Amino acid sequence: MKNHINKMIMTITTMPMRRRKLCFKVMLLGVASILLYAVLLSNQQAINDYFLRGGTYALLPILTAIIFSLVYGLFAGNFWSLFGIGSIRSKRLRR
Amino acid sequence: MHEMASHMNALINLDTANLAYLFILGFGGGLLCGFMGAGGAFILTPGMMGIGIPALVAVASNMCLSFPKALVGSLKRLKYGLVDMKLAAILGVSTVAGVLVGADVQNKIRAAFGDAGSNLYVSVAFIVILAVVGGIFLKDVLKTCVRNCNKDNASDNPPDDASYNVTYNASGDASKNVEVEKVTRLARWIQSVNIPGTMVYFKSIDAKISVLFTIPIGFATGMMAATVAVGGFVGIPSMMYVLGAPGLIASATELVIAFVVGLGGSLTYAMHGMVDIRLAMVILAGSLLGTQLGAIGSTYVRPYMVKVVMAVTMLTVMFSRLLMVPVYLSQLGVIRGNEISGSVITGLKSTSFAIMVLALLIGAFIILKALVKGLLIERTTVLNRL
Repeated sequence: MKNHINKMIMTITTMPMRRRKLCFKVMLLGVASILLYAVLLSNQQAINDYFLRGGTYALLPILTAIIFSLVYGLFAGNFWSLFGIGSIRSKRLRR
Repeated sequence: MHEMASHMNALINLDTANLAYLFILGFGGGLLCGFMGAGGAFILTPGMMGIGIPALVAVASNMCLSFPKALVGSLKRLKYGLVDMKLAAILGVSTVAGVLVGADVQNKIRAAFGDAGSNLYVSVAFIVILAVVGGIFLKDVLKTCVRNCNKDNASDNPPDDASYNVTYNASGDASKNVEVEKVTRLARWIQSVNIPGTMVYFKSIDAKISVLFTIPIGFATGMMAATVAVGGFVGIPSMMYVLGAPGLIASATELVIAFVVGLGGSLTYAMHGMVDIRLAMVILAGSLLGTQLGAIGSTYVRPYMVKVVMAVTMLTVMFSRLLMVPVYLSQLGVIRGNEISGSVITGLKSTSFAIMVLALLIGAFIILKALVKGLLIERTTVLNRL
């Protein structure tokens, strides 16, 4: 496990600057996303109690959807780029 | 409150198996959504219904996960100047009216006939819409194939009245990928009709169109969004084939409408306590990863391939829903117990679910195959250059 972490740190530190930034961004957003999902899934009963009340409580699912989409959306948006998977047009533009 | 209490009992238990299934369903739906530009919900709603989630909760939760995505997508397209804001605003007003009516109809059906009635209503709506839209796309694909074959055999001179949508394959060869996006005869007729006092000029279409034609389109889009959570099924083809808008503009404009409709619809359903945020967010987790990959995949294929995927998956999902109709009819007591046995019902449910999964796998396979093939060709080209 320790070797694995050391190897991972070595890989990151030897990366070009742009890629390193992207890597940190993905990791940070990944951790934030995990926290959001952990809160959601570990408090299912309480969340259902409030979110399904209707009326003014209707804003709760709307706000939750926006927050999750922002944090997790940014993570997902950069996730594939980290592995070099991008649209053919954007790759041509970069070249 | 009573409505909420009865609804709480219908909430599914999110165990590991259901979580994994919903994540994979979201990923597959996202792949299709990103690849097609819109419309992943046509597989998400039946997919959720397949594990026993009531149709109304599936539609409401779907709307709630799709409106933030539509917001991000429409902001991007706005930046690229692909959105016809006037068309979006005019269609948007009647679309919101359609959503309100559609949500009201859904709630009334559920109140009168319960979940079985609601499931039947949504399934029948899916069958009709998927048959029509999937059929149109299939016809379009066949036409494009025939036209491209004829063009290869005949002459290299393009017809004068056509607009061109040129894309490139991974090797950079554009010559074989020229596809003709023709204005349909119906759109030409609609553009030629002049009803004084109702005409509006749309820059993207470069023609004046009567709002009397846009109102039913917007209303139907809203009704569809509230019924099956996929307004784009009506909106995009209508803008393309009925109004004569270019495909890219139609899908970008529809995204703006989808955001407004999704937000309005989600709020309406959430006020009745119908949005299960747990389902929505787990599907969102898979969906956003899939959407990105699907959108990347779409840049590696010829445009007609998108229509092939749409036609194949839509028609397969349609068969899946068709098999569930006798099940809901028996739950409603229209088909009696002695006319259809329990084992037949179980068989129909399992087959319907299997066909739905098959549709998801077919769509995902075509997209991922195209993506991997494109990436490999591109890497080989780069290596050869070095």
